[in-house]
Amino acid sequence: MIELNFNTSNYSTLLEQIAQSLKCSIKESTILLPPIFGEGWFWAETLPSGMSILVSDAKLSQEIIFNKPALTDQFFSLEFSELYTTNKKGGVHKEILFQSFAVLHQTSNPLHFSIPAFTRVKSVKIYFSLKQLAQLINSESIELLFTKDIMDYLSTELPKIIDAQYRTILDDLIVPQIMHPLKLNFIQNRILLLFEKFIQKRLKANILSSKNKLNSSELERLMQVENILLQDYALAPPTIEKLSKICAMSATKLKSEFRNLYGAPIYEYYQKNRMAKAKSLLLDGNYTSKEVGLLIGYSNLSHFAAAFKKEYGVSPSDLLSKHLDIRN
Amino acid sequence: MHKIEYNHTNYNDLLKHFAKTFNCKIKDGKMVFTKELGEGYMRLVKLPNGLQAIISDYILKEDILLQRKKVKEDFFTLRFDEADIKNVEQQDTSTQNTAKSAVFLMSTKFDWLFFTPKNTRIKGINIVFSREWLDSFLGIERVGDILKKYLSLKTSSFNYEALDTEYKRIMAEAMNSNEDQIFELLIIQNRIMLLMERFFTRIYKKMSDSSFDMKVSNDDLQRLMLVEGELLKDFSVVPPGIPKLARMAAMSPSKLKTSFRDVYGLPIYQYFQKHRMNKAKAMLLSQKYNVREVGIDVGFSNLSNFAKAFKKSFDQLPSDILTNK
Repeated sequence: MIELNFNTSNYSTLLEQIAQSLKCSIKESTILLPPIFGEGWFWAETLPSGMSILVSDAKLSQEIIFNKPALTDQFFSLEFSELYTTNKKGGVHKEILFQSFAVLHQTSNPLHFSIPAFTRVKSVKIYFSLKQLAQLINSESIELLFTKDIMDYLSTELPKIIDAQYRTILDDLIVPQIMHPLKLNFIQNRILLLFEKFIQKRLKANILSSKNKLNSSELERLMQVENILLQDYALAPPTIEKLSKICAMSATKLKSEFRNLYGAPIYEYYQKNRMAKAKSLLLDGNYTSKEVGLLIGYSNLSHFAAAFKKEYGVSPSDLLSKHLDIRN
Repeated sequence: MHKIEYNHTNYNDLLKHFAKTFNCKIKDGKMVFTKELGEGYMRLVKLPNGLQAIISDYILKEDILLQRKKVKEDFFTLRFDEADIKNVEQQDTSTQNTAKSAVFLMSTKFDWLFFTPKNTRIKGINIVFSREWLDSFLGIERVGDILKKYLSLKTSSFNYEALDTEYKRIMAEAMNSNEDQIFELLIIQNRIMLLMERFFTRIYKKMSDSSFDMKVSNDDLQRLMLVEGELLKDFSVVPPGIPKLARMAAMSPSKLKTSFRDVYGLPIYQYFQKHRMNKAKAMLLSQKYNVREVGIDVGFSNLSNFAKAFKKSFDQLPSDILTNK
């Protein structure tokens, strides 16, 4: 068991404290976990505004306990985490998502939590003060996020789950090293997009809150369904029947609860994310439109082109040719 | 034909100028064209991060010619314009800059003309910022110096590219957010920053695609960046020698020296020294370390050598910075 005590509201400093506890070194703001502790990495960055970010994808071979006392500095942390356990089924290791949340903490509250051994944690965490945020975001938006009932909000509101809207932004960040030439602007823009979605969802949640009466086990199972649905576009998606078995709900309940939670019917949600995946593959510039079509499960390319055009108003090959043509 | 001359670097004043010329009213930062002129709007957006933008979507019944006169102030405008000509009726397009869907960065130190034929729908996001703003935007980045150098090699028009689908998509998100007004500003700001991020990234890519004026190929540039990273990695140890760096870059020492200077603007060790001293200054300014700690951290075992080198760079002693603050 590893116990990690920290007392900072800056993730670059926290990264140093983690490195000390694990007796490993920091290279280019990154810790690579030594094999005796497990596998994975953490990186941290402090932005010019003073906000800091910690990104990790790690699986430790021991339980780890985090302790942070109450701090007096009036910082907040916005955290997005996904936790996976490893199941051994017939000799094959399989990772299963069992927890996913977007949550806002206040550093004036103490924090104690532990992560069981062999749990893979993918997370993005941002420390900020209202003063730092005010340099970047208009004060009215900040008020939407931090209304007077903030204390109630922080103590009572359930964490929000991470859906595909968050995930597209998070996926840009959860990489071992950000290779973008405008790295800090890139990180900062993604952070602001996360804030945008967080506020947006909070506003919607206020309207919809009465609808959501799932218990935590149902919530967890729906998250699994969402995860399985988007796992691999190359294969045909699981049927509703199969999904409803996985989450142990009736097909009708699954359909309506999924829609409430993720904002779209199951297959519409699937298709939207599949096309988003296609688009990001195309924009990577490493694949032809044919390869992308195959990667996301279209054997018939004209179907792919038609579906893509329906979503984005432009065919995959047009997107590709315009995108590559950067010299006019 | 409407012909509008202007030379504003403040978009608030510019919108007022447009309103006066067109004889339209501004309400809540938005100018709506009267029915006699056509339809649509131009609106001013002031972002918390210091940028000003005019977002517009309009069709006018007459041709319009915008003429920006050069000014002494060092500002830039970055225009994203999507033009859609409704009438197929042949236009005489002898004027230089006919409406096109394009992205265009330019300096306010030069004259500029923009002609839009009548019945063209223009959707645009135009952003204005000072050189200082651009410097701080790029300055935080590792490639900032290279980009600034590239921009300084160009004169009036820095970059011109066709407006592709991805740009149009981001623009559409900014223009049709359908959210409550308070929250809309955040959405617009985020989209504008994504547009800028994409624009400057593409300049950078274009630059490293060897079309850059400097005689450095894409591969060489990548390897030079490795060298640069290695050079600045840790100031507390002796910097790698030219032979080692040359091996790393897979270049001869003399080629390394010239191309490094071309790209980064300084000879290798001057560049190293400059960044080392900047780091020392930043550490001192933080008031967290004493002169000795800073000197050792940037690799001086002899503190009077450190003081001398520091004085040479900044014309003051390290201790001055500590006591002055």
